[in-house]
Parts: sequence; C-alpha cells; structure tokens
Amino acid sequence: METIQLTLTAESPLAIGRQKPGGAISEAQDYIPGSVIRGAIAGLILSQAQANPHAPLEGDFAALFTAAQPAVFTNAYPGSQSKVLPATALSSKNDPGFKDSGKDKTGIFDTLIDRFCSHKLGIPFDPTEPDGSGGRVEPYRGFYQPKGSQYEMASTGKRLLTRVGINRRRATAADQILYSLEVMNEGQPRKEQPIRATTFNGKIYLRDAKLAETLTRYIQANAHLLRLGGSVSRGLGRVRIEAKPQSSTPSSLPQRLTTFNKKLQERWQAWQIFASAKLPSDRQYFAIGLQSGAILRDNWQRTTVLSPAMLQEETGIEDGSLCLELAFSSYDYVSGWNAAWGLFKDVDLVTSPGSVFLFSTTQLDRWIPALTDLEQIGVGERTSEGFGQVEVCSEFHLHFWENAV
Amino acid sequence: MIRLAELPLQGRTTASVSLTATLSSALSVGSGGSSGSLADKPIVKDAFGRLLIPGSQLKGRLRHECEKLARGLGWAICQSPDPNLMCPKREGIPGRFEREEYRVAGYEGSHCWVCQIFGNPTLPSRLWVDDLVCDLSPEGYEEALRPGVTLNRRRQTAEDQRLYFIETSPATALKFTGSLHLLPDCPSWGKALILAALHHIHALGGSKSAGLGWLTWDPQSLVPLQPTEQDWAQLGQGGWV
Ligand SMILES: [Zn+2]
Repeated sequence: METIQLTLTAESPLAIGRQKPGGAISEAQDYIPGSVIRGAIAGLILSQAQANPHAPLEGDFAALFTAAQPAVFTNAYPGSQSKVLPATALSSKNDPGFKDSGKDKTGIFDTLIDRFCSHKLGIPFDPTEPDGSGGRVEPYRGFYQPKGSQYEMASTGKRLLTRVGINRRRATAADQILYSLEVMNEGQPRKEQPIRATTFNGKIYLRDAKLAETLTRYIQANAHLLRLGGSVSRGLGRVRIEAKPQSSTPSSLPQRLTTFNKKLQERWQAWQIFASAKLPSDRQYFAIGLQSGAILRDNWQRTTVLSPAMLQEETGIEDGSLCLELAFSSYDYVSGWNAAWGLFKDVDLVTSPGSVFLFSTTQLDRWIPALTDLEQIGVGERTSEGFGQVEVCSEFHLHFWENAV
Repeated sequence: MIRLAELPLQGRTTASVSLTATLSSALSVGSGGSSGSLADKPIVKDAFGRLLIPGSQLKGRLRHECEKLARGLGWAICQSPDPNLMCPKREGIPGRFEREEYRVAGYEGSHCWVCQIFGNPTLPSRLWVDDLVCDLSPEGYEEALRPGVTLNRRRQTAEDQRLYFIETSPATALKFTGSLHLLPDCPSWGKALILAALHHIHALGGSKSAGLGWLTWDPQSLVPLQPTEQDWAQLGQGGWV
C-alpha cells in the first residue's frame, strides 16, 4: 500500500459544515472530512478534463475514485500527527486535560485494559482522579498529538462570520438577508507567540505505486486551485496543500501487539490482589479503535458494534476462536458535503470516532497482515471517504491510572 | 480517458488574476453583530488581525455591476439574490430567457449571462473571488472610531437615538491584494464583463457618502483580464430583450 501524506494549511476561514437532525445548519466541523478532500480533487480533475458528463470515466480518474478498490482519503485532523482519543480515556471532571496543559491538572489516562480485567474478574471498576483525591472523572474526547515525550490536544478555533445580503435594487443592506456562518479559523493564537496558521494532516492510501506518484505530482502542481467546503466562490475554503509520499517503513503493528499483550498480562497479575483467576493461556488480545466515524452494517441493519462476524468478513479471515471481549461505542449522525453543489448529503448513522473494540483469538499471527491492511483501508462502508479508519492496539491504552499523562 | 499527467489540457485552465486596490480614504467594511469592538459596525479582520475586504462583498458588488452592464447591452438578466427571482426559476421576471446562449451543458433550464459567471442555486459559480487582504501588520496602524448620526430628512435634525459608531481603517493609502479566479468553465466573454464592472467600482464598504472606502485598482493588475475582440463582440451583439 502506498501512502501520500497531506499537510493542509488554511489560508482563509473554512466553512465546512455539519448537520445533525434538528441542529443549526451552519455549525462548523472540527476537522476536514476525507469526503471533502476527495470531492475537491475529483471536482478539479473533472473541470480540467472537459469530461462529457455521460461518458464513462476511464483512466486515472476511475482508478482513483470509481474502481472496486478506490483510493482512501482519510479525514484531515488539526495539528501534525494528531489522533482521536479512545472512548476509554478519562480525565478529571473539574479540571480535565493533559498534565502539561495546566499546573493543577491530574492528566488523562486510559481504562481499556483495567475494564477488561474487572469485567473478567467480576469486580466493579470505578476509577477516580489520578491524584488519589477521589475526584470524579469522565470520558475525555478530542484530537491529541505528541509534544516532546508528552501529549497535547489539537484543535481549531471557530468564529461566526456575519454576512450582509445586499438589496441590489436599492443598493442598501437588506436586513432580512443578514446571515451568519460558523467557520474554522485560519489562524490559531498562542500564548505570547505570534498567531500560527491552522494546519491539518491527512493521508491518501492507494495500491498502485505509479498512480501514487502521478497523484502526488498532480496535487503539488494544482493545489492552489483547490477549495474546500462551502462559500468557496466568495473567498472561503482556501488551503495550501502539500502532498508528499511517505516512505514505506515496516509497520509497527507486530511490536504494538506484543507490547499490548505483555501489558495486559502484567495488569492481570496486578488485579490478582482482588481476586484470583487465570486467563486462558492460549488466548491473545487486540484492540481496534476507530480513528474516524464508521458506517457499520450487520445483515443490512445499522449497528454500532464491530462484531467478530463482521471483522472476519471484512478481512476474509475465518477464525472460529475470535471473540469480542468488550465494546465501547457510541453513535453520531453525520452528513456528507457535496462540494460541487455546496449542499449536504443525506444524514448517516455512524459509530463515533474513539469507539474501541477488544477482541481475543487463539490465532493472533494469522491476523497480523489483515490488521495491517485494516489500518489503512478502514472498516465498514464509504471507507474511500475516510470513514472507518482504525488504529490497532493504540499505545494510549498503556497509560494507566497511576501513570496518567 | 483521463490521464492526470496530461491535465490541464489546452484551454481548460483556471485563469487567476491578482488584484491590487489602493485606498484613497478610510475604509469601513462593517459586519453588524460581531463582537470584540466598541463600534456598532466594526471593521472586518482575518484571524491574524489583518484588515480585509471580504470576497463575499466584492463578489456581490461585481455581480451587481455586471447585471447593470449586461442589462444595458440588452441581455435578459435575472434578479439576484432572491432565489425566486433568479435563474432558472425567475418568477415574474420579464425578458426573453429561452435562447441558445442561455443553455449550459449539463444543467437544466436557461441561465442568464450573469448567472453563467456568478452562479445561482442550481449552477455553481465559475468565478471565485478571494478576500482582499491588507498586508500591513496590525501593529502598524490603529483603527479609528467615527461617530455617525442618522438624519431625519423631513425635520433636518439629528435623531439622538440613532447615534452610532463605525470603525474605520486609518486614512492612509493602504494596499489590499487578493485574487479573482476564472474557472475553466467560465465563458471567455466573462472577462470583458468583469473588467468593465471593476471600472465601475470606485468604492467598497459602507458610508461612501461620508467619504469612506474610496479606492483605485492598480491598472497593472487588470492586464490579465484583457478580453479579445471576439469577447467584446459577443457581449456587444446584445440580446435585445
Ligand atoms: Zn440569471
């Protein structure tokens, strides 16, 4: 699999809206959806190609967008290497956040492995603040990125743009067409430092190395013509896009699996203070965390849980020993953005980013190649638009209560 | 067959025109309702604190001027921005809209010449107007607050309760730059119309009559918009509504 790394720098406010049933129509998104990047690139190619709308689209366009295995455009998240915090991450209710971000903060920690142990041992698990004060904790959501040996949250500021419609006949402002629009800011103020341009990072995954090279060169040459989101003809949605091929380094997945299983065993031993029980010696574990919303369907029904049956079907691996040990998922509604029309697409039910599923199997080795692919292609439907991106055995699961970060 | 390496093909390029405007008076591009300023009509700035003239405002003015010009040449033109009075619906707008020149490949109905450049609820805009941004750093100037009063014209007196403040840029020759982009589908005669419209825009923003927002376009920046003889001829043939 080839990877193109995208760095997007906002040069004007971005009006990338999202719509929830019953919600305000102009609420701005927190990131740039893969569907928006994909739509903008497809639209630009079509506008330059003088394509007959009724002719079948062949060649590079088909290979990228309409083939059976099209290129995958991931969501672009704020920051440079940001990820989505798992749903099992908790932080203080009163003063949440990473330790580094404030003097009195007790940090963020993950509970996946502890929840697994308590569940298996039948002991209630009721975590509190890591400083031992007994303070209440709750799930902490958002994007995080490495900062030195620590982490920081990555987010974008938003503001409301007010636009005045003009009554052209009288050349005066017409009150009834005053409207406002929520946008992502093009700059981020920092403490005692100059304002920094807002950046986002995303990826394009595709199978054909030659096509990857062609697409990279195309984006580099035409990036100044891309606009993302709404109101692009009126000055919004300007971004600078840099595309560069990511050198193919061996996947860190086998290492992450080994570490995860080792830590899980250690943690299990620690829990033996409360109750004595053995883990099945032939079983190994892996966690699949959603890095973007996933559209999951089981027997034509929408679902928010990635079942062993679905995972086997997605990967083509038959494994009768596969077992779903725990699932932490919630759902959300999203709608797509049709760049060409500046309109919302239909609303879809999605399993929320951050959802985590813990599986066990007696045949872990067989799963390694499939899970490696899964981290690029994703699970569920509309993966080419960035839905269903996953991270297997996130290192964040290893930040336990007593070593909150 | 689409080959990325061969794009863009001849004549399918986006024409970008870098525009420069020099202010000859203070500017008041107000946006009622935004916070962070004492003024009732604060000046618009970007996230870096730089003064700007929003692309939406320049695009609106350009469209307005193009509509006047095209109507003057006898073309049937719809009435933006009310979607009910715009192509392709145009409820109750007189004019001969059913003609070959108003057809757009791939889109139903007829679209007047202004819609073919600026778009309508069904046809995407083929002109992009970026914000015009002033490169002067925010530390380099201080915006001014000007009091304004609404006059009651009948009684020729100021109405106390209508005293308001407008925020303006300093009255120095600030330079604003931005770009226009004519997309590959933008008709070639669009250049002629846009160039003529720019020549009719001598002020932007509010309170022109109070002497605010007067500007001149850098003639050099208009050079890429030079239309061909054929573009002028096509526009000039007129529609004779
Ligand atoms: Zn029209």
